[in-house]
Amino acid sequence: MISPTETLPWISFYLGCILLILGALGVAFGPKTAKEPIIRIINLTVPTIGIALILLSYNYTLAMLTVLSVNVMYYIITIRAIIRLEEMGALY
Amino acid sequence: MDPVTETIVPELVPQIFLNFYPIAIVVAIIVAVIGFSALILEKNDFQKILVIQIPILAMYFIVSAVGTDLAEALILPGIVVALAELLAVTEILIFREITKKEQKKEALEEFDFDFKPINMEVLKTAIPITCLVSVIYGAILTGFTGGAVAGAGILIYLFTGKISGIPHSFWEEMTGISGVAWCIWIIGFLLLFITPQLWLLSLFMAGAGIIVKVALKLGLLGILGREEYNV
Repeated sequence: MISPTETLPWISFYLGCILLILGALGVAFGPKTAKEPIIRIINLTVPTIGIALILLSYNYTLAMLTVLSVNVMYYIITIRAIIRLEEMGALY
Repeated sequence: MDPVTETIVPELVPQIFLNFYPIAIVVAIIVAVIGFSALILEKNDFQKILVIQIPILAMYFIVSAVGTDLAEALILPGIVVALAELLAVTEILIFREITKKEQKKEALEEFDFDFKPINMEVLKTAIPITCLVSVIYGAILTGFTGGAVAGAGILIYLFTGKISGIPHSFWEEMTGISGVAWCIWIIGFLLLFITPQLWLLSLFMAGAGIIVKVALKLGLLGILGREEYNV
């Protein structure tokens, strides 16, 4: 029997934990991450969605909204830094 | 429930969050170990900035495991401050490379600097009204979340580089307003403790103060960029 207050928090919590661990492994030791910062940034989406699911299971609506909106700005800032550093030839 | 948890943990925390607690701590420690081990192996400075996000996520997880409203109140500033740190650190990295190049320039006389405005497809094709919509939505949200959303609007506005009518002194006045907003925030908190019957006024003072402060803090990066590169 699926109940919204008992079963669904468990599902989103465990899904979030799995995504968090797998995403952290992907960001840390994933293929080609050492050469390409862009791949690392894209991989970072997975643990961020994991943490958003965990916050959802704890009923932290505002924290989840803030994580998701800050994630968008994270892309803009890091890709701006990549472009600036690449222009100067200083990325590697 | 055993007597120790009954006395320490308040009854407001549901049983399901207490069951989550040991799993949450173990998973967060595993994730933090993964992140720090990658941080040790990494040599490049910019890659280190990207990898440090994993321990930050583990930190959110440990704080959220408490399961009360206090945890949410601690996570919200943590998220916004982590973003501000990222802004500051990337800015320092870029500035360091510029100074390195200037030292080289003394040796190579004819080396030419022309810093163009940021060249991103999204920023060129985005509708300018996106900034206005996100600022208005942030004003409706208020608090840290609204500050982050409104700050995103200001950042997009500054990164597009289409604006030219705003004078330089305008942004300096804006940083002054940021300080005033912080004072309003603190006064709101004080009123909440001194005169609890004025709770609605103090709540609105705190909420409005923090949105102005956070939004203008995030707009600071665009100001730095315009001063440096004369965009």
